[in-house]
Amino acid sequence: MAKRYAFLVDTSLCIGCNACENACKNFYQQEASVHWRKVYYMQEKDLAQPLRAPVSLACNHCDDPACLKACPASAYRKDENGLVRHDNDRCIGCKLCTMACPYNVPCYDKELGKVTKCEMCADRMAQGEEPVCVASCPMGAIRVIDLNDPANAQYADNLAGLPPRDMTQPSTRFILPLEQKQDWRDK
Amino acid sequence: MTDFSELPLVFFTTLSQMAVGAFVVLYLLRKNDHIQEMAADRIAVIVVVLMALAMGGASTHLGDPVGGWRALLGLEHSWLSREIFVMSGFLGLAFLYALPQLKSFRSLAGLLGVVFGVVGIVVTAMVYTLPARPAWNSPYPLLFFALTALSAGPLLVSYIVHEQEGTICQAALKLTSFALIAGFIVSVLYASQQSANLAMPAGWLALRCLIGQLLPAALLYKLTQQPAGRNLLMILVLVVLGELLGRQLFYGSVLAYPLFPF
Repeated sequence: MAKRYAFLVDTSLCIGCNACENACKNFYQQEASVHWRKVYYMQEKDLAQPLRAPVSLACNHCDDPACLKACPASAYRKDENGLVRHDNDRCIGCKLCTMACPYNVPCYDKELGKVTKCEMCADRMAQGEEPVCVASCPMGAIRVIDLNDPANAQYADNLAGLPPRDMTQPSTRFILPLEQKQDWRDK
Repeated sequence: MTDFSELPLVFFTTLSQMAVGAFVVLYLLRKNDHIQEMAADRIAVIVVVLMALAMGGASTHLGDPVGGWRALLGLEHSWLSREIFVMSGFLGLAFLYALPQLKSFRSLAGLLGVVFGVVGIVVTAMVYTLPARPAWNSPYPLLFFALTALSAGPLLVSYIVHEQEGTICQAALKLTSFALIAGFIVSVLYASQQSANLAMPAGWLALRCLIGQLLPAALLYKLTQQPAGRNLLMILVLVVLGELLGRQLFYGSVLAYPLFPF
């Protein structure tokens, strides 16, 4: 049975060190403005208590990808493992996918004159290695899971502050920030 | 507003919509024998030149212009592919219409050109109706694009008819006046209703409305009282400048769907 790969982001472990983002940029030697993975911060109003809650996001490998639907050159495809793949040779650099993705994932590379994006290190995965972001996270806050495994149904499928799920059906799953005892505030 | 990276698209959308508006008015006026053949020939050539400039300019927007033909590979799912297909069809039909050797087919080429042009404007609007751009995920792109065609197109035809025949085409000018006033209302509604999804500088919006809508509308009103052909050129220049400025605001002020907003 085919896999349906997805990132699992554990926001209770993420410390916002940006190691994932930098490892990705370093491994793929990206142009300065290109960020396939970015670290965001959840807003206090969206949390049960005041917390500093970083969230590392890359391509969500959506089930209904806006990038794929917008692309006039058919440079995007959904592969057999559920990953949204981008063919650089087909891309014409029209940048419409960068407007269509509600997660700001596709990045226009000025040097290439084309758009590039995270492919969950599909080539590394095919050789049994982890994606670079997963391997580089010192906290183990990013993992790859198979959504066809019923055990993974327990994870949250969205976070407050992200677009509504029905916009593109993203595959990324989350472990929500832990509610912690706040000694200083309790006094 | 200061992001000019979409400038080729500013020119493409404005010029192509102006060309479609002019072609539709040309077809209707010619069908009812309201203008002579010489003026119709001139307008047809100008429509072709405008469309060629628009489409050529749009290709400079691509990172890989040589591979631009691949933009037709996504007809099944992509509104941008459909836009390029339909607008290329419109250019082809306008070219056939303009060819003196094919005058016997003008009626058919004109009718098909009108259909392709109108559909082209709707399809262009669909390209920008994106959930990831909340301000555009609304009827506004279609309203803006249609009003550009309805204001600049008939005005261009009126100007050329006046140059060629010395007459003022009142019906076309009335359409332009209506579109300018409607455009002003739509611009103000857009800026106010979508203010949370836009970074619209009020000063630039005021300038756009003043030079591209209110002033030309006032000059057109004056023209109906005292016809003076040379004012038409000034009005045309003002309307085209206003539409270009409005389109730059359209692209430059839209905000992406906010991630983790305050």
